[in-house]
Amino acid sequence: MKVPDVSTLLQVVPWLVCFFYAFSFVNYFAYFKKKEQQIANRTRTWLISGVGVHTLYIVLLSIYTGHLPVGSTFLVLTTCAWFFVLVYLALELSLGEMTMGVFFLPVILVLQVISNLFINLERPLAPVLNEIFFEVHVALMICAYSAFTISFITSVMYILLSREMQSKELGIFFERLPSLEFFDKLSNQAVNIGLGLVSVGIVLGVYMGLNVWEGKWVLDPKLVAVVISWAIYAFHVLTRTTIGWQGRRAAIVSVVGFNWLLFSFLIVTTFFSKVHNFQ
Amino acid sequence: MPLFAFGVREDLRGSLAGKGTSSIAEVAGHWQTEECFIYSGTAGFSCFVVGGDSHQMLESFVETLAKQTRTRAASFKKTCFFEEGATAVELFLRILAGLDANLQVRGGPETFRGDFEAARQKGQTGPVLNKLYQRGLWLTEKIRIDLKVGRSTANPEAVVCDLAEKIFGNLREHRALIACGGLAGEPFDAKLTEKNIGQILYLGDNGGPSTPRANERNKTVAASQLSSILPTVDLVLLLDGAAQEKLASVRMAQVMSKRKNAPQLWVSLLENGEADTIPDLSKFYNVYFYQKRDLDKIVLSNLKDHEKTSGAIKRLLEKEVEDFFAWVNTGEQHRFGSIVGRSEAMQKVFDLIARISQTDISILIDGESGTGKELVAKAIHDHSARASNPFVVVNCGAIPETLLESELFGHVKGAFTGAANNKIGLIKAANHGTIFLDEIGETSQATQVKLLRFLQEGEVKPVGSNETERLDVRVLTATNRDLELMVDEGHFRQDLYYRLNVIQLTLPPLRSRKEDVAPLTTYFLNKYAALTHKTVLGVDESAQRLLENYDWPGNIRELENAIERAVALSSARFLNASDFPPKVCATNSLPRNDFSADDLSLKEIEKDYIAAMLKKHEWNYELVTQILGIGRTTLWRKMKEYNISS
Repeated sequence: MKVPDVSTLLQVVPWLVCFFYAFSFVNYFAYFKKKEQQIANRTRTWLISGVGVHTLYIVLLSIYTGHLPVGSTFLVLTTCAWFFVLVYLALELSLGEMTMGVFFLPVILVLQVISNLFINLERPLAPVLNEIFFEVHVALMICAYSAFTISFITSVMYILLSREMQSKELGIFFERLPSLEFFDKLSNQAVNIGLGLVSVGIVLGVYMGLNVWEGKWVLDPKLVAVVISWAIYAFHVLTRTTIGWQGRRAAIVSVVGFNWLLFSFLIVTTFFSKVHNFQ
Repeated sequence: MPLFAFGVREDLRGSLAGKGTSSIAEVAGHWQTEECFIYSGTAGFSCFVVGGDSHQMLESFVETLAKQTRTRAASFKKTCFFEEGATAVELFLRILAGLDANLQVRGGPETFRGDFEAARQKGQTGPVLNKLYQRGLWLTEKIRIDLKVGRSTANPEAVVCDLAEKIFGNLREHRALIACGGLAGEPFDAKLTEKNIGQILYLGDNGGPSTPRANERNKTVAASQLSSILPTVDLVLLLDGAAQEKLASVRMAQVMSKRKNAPQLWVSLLENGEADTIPDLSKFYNVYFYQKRDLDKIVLSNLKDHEKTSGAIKRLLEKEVEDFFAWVNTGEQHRFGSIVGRSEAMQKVFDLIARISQTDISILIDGESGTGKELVAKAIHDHSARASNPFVVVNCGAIPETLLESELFGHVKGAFTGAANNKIGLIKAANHGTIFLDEIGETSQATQVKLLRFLQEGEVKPVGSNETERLDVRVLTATNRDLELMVDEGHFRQDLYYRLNVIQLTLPPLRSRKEDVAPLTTYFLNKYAALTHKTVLGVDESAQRLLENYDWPGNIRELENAIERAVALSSARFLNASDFPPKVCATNSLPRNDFSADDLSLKEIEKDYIAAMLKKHEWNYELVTQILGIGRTTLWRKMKEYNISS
């Protein structure tokens, strides 16, 4: 039997990843509605299989491109999704709380589908990207964005549960979700970690930019966008710790921050074809 | 078989308590019934009656109670109910299982069981009601285990705890403030304490204690401290209007800013009129404010959730009623599964089987040889959720000690000489079912260790294998030896004994329950008459007296053998004394042997007698076991014990 070469596999495997995640999502949804142990076991099998296939995909990409798959926007996207699902799985296993999956999986799935649609593996890599600093920079950013995503999702869940409790019409969120305190803690910790990582990431990026771009970096839209996100999350930490913007207000700030992240990411990658994209 | 239930609905209970019960008991003594059970308790005043003239009984019931309560009989009768057949059976089961008319679990009236068992002891009840009672016990456990009911969220204190836990997660780090004048705080205190809340504060009148529960963890605070206390508590319960003025002076905005807007839950149980004076707290950021009407709505919707289970309960109940009538129609009145017995002692055994069969508790069945230990184990298995899975019987005394371990746990190829293939152990063969280990006292120390490990960890390791396997098997054991004594002597592991003996079920010997001889006789008679195609209608009077007077050292097995023999020998339609073995007939006469010569212990007599019998019948074990009325294993063991060999 002829072993299919890496490039054919790279056509199939990413969609297989989507397939697994889609099935996990369906199962998480069923679990959320019925909360039966049987579904829970099945769901975890699907998700772990998905993670397995995704890991294979990341390995294949690394073999094909010759380095970690962080060289272009859409490569970063799938790596981000991969890292994110790992973090989620670790969370689920350590907390024993599966109801969050129904909120996490759609985000992961969307990231993966976008990556699959637009990925272009044939593009040559800019020589600057072969530096170790660059890979550290991107890795930090991916971790930070994962943390922000977790904060976003837990904040959404906080808002949903809190609204249900304020309205006094207790429904499925009250019945299924863990406590407000749980979401609050998780979201705040994620923002704290994310903010720390993104700060180091920006400093590293600026340092490299100084060397490579020789002064042009100040007006780089991606940098501007990320500094604004940094400011939003810093605002989150500040208001929360000083003037008591706990709970719902903090959750709203986190949601705004994440929306800005997504929005700026789309705007920057579609309309500004600048040096930061290395094209 | 006519079965009735009549009585008074619960609203009249108050005026009937005490004297009403005793006067009805007196009147009931004159009723011409087969069986009768009178229950008075929180669920009403009900009489369950089998046979007799129901209308006459109802009349006398109404008359007596009307006199007692000084009301006119006609108007009193309107408050009474009368049910018969299936509805009466259903009512009985419902009261026993603690279900209300809407099939909601309300926590069973515990006095029902006590009352019933007392009535049974007095002989007021009979096979029909006893059976119904046992089915009811079984049903109660079934509902509890299968439907997982019991944890009710349909009361305000449970809802408050749910809300608090949804906001704060674990309550251990949180404090509650309860503002109430009287004892209204009790249920909330109990529920919050159950949830391990960090501290409960009580708002006292002028600093004095308003609660009986002030201890070092929970304390009373004065109203003047309120503004400094409020920012430090997370849950505030307003149970009555007493604390209103004090609260009116508190500025919420200040409280919340002191708390840095950490969430706070306020619950008010004030009635609509009182609640008007309370400011609408829900406009404050991060304050969750629940009023009485909100709580009531949640309690109501939780109740509706409970109703979902009532459908399942209804089906169980209907099936139970149907099964009960099917049983009544078979006429097998003194049976439970395949066990026959109408004595009080056996009814207690049946009660216990009905109650414990659905759990996975280890049960040690003990009793003399031939009392039917295996039948009990089978009945427990058949009444459990494992009934459709295997039931494996292992007689530990019949398998050589060296083989027992590999029989139970299996072995792998090459584990020992002759182990040519992998063998699945009997425990594994019983997976998801029940294994019954008879004569557990005969096991070696090594096997006992392995058994203990299996019971504790649920794991078995085949002989010669390094891998353990998890199995789900319920273990029932039986013995006719005194295990406690064996533990004391060091022949049986103490830890294993405690593991096996979570519940001890002792089967009384036949000689201590002579009233069971007659139904057992009928049962075996029918069985062997059918087997031998003979028409035997019964046992004549003198023979029956003989059977009841005999001591039955071999218990039911001996009785069975005697009847089998009698049916085989008999040519008449009724068995007579001459059909039975001579020693049964000889009971009433003097002992045959003269023991004056030397003083022998029972053991010595037993030894000599077994040896003599074996010699006499040329070592025909089958015949000797029949004569001695003991099982083959027992004979074999006794031969070993007394060193008897050919």
